[in-house]
Amino acid sequence: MDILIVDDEPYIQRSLSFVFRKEGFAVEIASNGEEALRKAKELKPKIIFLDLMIPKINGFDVCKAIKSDKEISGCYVIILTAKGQEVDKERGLQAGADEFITKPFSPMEIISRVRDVLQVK
Amino acid sequence: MKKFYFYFALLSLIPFIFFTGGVESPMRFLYYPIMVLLIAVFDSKTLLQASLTFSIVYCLIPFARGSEYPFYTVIINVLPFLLTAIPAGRISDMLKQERDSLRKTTDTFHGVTNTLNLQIMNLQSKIDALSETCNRLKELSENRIRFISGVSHEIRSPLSSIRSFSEILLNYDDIDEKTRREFLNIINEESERLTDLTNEILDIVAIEFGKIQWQMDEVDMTDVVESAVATIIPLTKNKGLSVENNIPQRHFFIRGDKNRLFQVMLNLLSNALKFTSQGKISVGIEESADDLKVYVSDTGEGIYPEEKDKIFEEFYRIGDGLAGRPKGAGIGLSISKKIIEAHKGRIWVESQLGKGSTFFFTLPKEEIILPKVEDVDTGADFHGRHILVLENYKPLRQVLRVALETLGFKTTGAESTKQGLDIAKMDKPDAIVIGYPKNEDYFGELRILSRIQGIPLFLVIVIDDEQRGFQIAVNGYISKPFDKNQILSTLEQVLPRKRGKILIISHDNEEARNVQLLIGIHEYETIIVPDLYSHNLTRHMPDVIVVGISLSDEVYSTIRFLRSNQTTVKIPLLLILNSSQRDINYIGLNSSAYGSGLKKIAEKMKEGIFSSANH
Repeated sequence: MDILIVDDEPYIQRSLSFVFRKEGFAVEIASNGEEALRKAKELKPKIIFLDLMIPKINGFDVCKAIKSDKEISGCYVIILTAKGQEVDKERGLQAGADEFITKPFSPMEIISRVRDVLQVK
Repeated sequence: MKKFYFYFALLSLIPFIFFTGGVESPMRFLYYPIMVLLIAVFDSKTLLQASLTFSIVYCLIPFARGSEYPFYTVIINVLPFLLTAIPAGRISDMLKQERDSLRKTTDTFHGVTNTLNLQIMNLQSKIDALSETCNRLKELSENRIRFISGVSHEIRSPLSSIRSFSEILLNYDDIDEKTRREFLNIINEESERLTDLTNEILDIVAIEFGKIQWQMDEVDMTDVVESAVATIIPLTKNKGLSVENNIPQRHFFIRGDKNRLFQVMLNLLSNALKFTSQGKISVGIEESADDLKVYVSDTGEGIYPEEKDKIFEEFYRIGDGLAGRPKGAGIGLSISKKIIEAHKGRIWVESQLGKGSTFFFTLPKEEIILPKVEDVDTGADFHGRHILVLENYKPLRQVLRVALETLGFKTTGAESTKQGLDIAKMDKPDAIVIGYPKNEDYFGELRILSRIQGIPLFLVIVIDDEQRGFQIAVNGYISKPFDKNQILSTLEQVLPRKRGKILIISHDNEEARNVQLLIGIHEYETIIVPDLYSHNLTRHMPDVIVVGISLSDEVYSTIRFLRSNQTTVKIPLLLILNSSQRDINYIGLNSSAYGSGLKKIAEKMKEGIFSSANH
């Protein structure tokens, strides 16, 4: 399992999953925090794209939970959010996020980031 | 009272004689210094009278007793008294004068203190008002920041989709036709969403900053609600929902903006549609004594109790806590709330989670919602005053003339500057109102004419053009769209008054007439009112205000009001008093005249008018 996309916006899910699949990565989608944690534990993705404003459990808490779970703490968490504010970044870093990408993003840039991350690993 | 003091002084001296050993005692000389002291301390006249009487009685005693040298005794007794009593009386008078002047100083001081206190109070209220404004501004700017961050957040989502899918389409050539169309549709849909969002944001900004043009009219709410329901019905059919119509078969009229109220209805109905997957939507109108209640009820997911107020805030979306929330920027309800509040109504929601929600709003039945342009009373002020309206575009000229004539002016129209100049030279109007000058050379000529003849010039301007208007300084501006109050206040400021205006506040016709007669009806324009509320002070500012004694208890409140009000604080105030009320020390009173001195009233009044003309 390569990538888990956590976002409740169907169009974000659609566009990201489309490009990742097109580039040959295995992709899963989660629409809320609960589903995200469950799928993360189950599928152990290498990269998680995580939106902050998601139902049930918010992005920060999902990130914290992932990073404190020994089994999956090694996965690379990229926080994907419409808010590019510094306060959020601070909170995201504290929660253990590895990287931030601000909406609106370019799918092509994201692909190149994914390639970098996966090659490093 | 005086008599009492007299006898009291007399009696008080009798024990003194006994204590000093009777009239023959040498101690009797002590009587004189004590007498002098008493005279100095107390009222000199009373004591002088008392002591004189006493001395005479005292002198007669030796005669009665058959003294050896009665005359000698008299001289011995009276001479020292006269020698001491007279200067003592002088001293007493001097002391009294001192006391009086001291009292006067104290009174003045009290007056100053009162004025100071009043000013302090004024200042305090100004400080309060300022800090309130400050807080409001702070709140406003915080709201604005919240609003902007909300807007940018909402804009990013559709923008994000548009950017992603267009980039995908540009980068991959091997996308099949079906997917290509899907992506193009998403781009299209999201740009539509962005358009709606922009419109909604503009709407909310317009309402927030009072820039909205409310079209207030008699509105049939039955019609509004029914047409909104008719708009939404095809969509409910698509979703398999039914609509229950509980709108009574009659008309409900209120004052409001029809299109905006329709917008509210449509918003509530589309929300109901959005959050209801099965069941029905009910719509109804209920009437109570004071207002009209409209409701939209659904059998949808319902709203969490803690969300009930938040959903009316900008950018709050129902279903943030639920998966698969429907799209929407979370602006609709906050716009609805603002619209309803502008109609002096209330909007709220009642809901049970899982069972559905009901949105209610009320509209007051008989409320004039927005500050309507007041009907201007065509006061005698401008009656017959002549205004030349110079504007070559006939419809605008007509509009101006009609507006001015309803205010009591006599108008003449001129379609060219040349014609205007001719009329101005011949008829000497009281003022000239000109539409925007096309040829500024002629305008210059008009200005020279207006300077020489003292005719004020008014320029009609479109608000945006104010900057330019100010460059060619004239006496005042009338801006489009025409507002009677604005025209009136502009003209009132500049037009010279023919006669001084005196406002007489009096309950008594005779009193008012007396004042009127004294000041001369023809010299001054007098307005008689029973109280302040019957007179629009800001519109008809008098030169002098006369407060009659007939107001009795209201005198205090009237004067207090006049002296604490920014607009009237400078107007000379004249109070008519009874002689018994002479000691009333009113704050900031320019002058007062007493009941008897009616001539004085007239003088003071003229003084007042004169001094008011100076400031």
